[in-house]
Amino acid sequence: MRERRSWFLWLVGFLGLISLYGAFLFAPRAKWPGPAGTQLGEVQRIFYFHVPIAWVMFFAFFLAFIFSVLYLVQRKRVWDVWAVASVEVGVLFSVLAMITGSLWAKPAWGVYWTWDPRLTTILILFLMYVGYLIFRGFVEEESQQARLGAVISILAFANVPLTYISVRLWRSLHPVVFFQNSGEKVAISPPMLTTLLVSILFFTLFTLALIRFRARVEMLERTLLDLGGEA
Amino acid sequence: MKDLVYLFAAYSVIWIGLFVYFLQLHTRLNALSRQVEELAETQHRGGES
Repeated sequence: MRERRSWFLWLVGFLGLISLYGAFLFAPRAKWPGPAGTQLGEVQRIFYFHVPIAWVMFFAFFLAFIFSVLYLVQRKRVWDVWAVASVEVGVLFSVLAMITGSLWAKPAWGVYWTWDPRLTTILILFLMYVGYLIFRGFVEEESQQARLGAVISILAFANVPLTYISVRLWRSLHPVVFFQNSGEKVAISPPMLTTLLVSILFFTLFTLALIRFRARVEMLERTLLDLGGEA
Repeated sequence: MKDLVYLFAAYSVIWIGLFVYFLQLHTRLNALSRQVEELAETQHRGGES
């Protein structure tokens, strides 16, 4: 078991290095439009980590949704533990997605933040899941806390598809990478796509490892509380 | 040049953010493991007496 875990971590590390190599050396600099008819320079390479981070944010919230449903159906502590871990990791990635997005927006649009549909919906999403973590703290009893958390998590998840399709529903400055039938289209060459896909794979596996680690800490805290310790 | 500053800032934020979170989890896990050991030792001693 331990050997399998160490192989998994080696694989994640290896994919991380390949992603960095791809983002900085393998993928060519794209000729994407910048402000006032100029072209974006090297800053375009933020894309190789910003898009995967946004993807894993959605992925973590999706997992939290699944675990919350499982908790409401089976009422087992383990599902609540995994839901909390997924939400916390999702919130971390939503912060990183907003910061890296802002650092892209400044040279591309001239401002760090604008009330664009994608940016606004992602901020709402972030606040909803921060609310999940805060509201849980208001309830003392564990099963009530888990029930409340599961309901908030399921309700908050409704905003995930809305955030994803916001660039297609409303006029948006945000570039559209996949399924480009609307929004600001961007050209992606095969090496760029390969780099992006490797980076997405890396971040997905890394997120699974991080959620598992966070769940382990959460489970240990609760076990200690059961035993009368101070977690 | 300014482009590189934004690029550097973005990648730094990602890795520093993930590293700090991981470190925080690791510290919590170590503290919890210590508590579990202490608790187990206390229970063991309680069982002996």
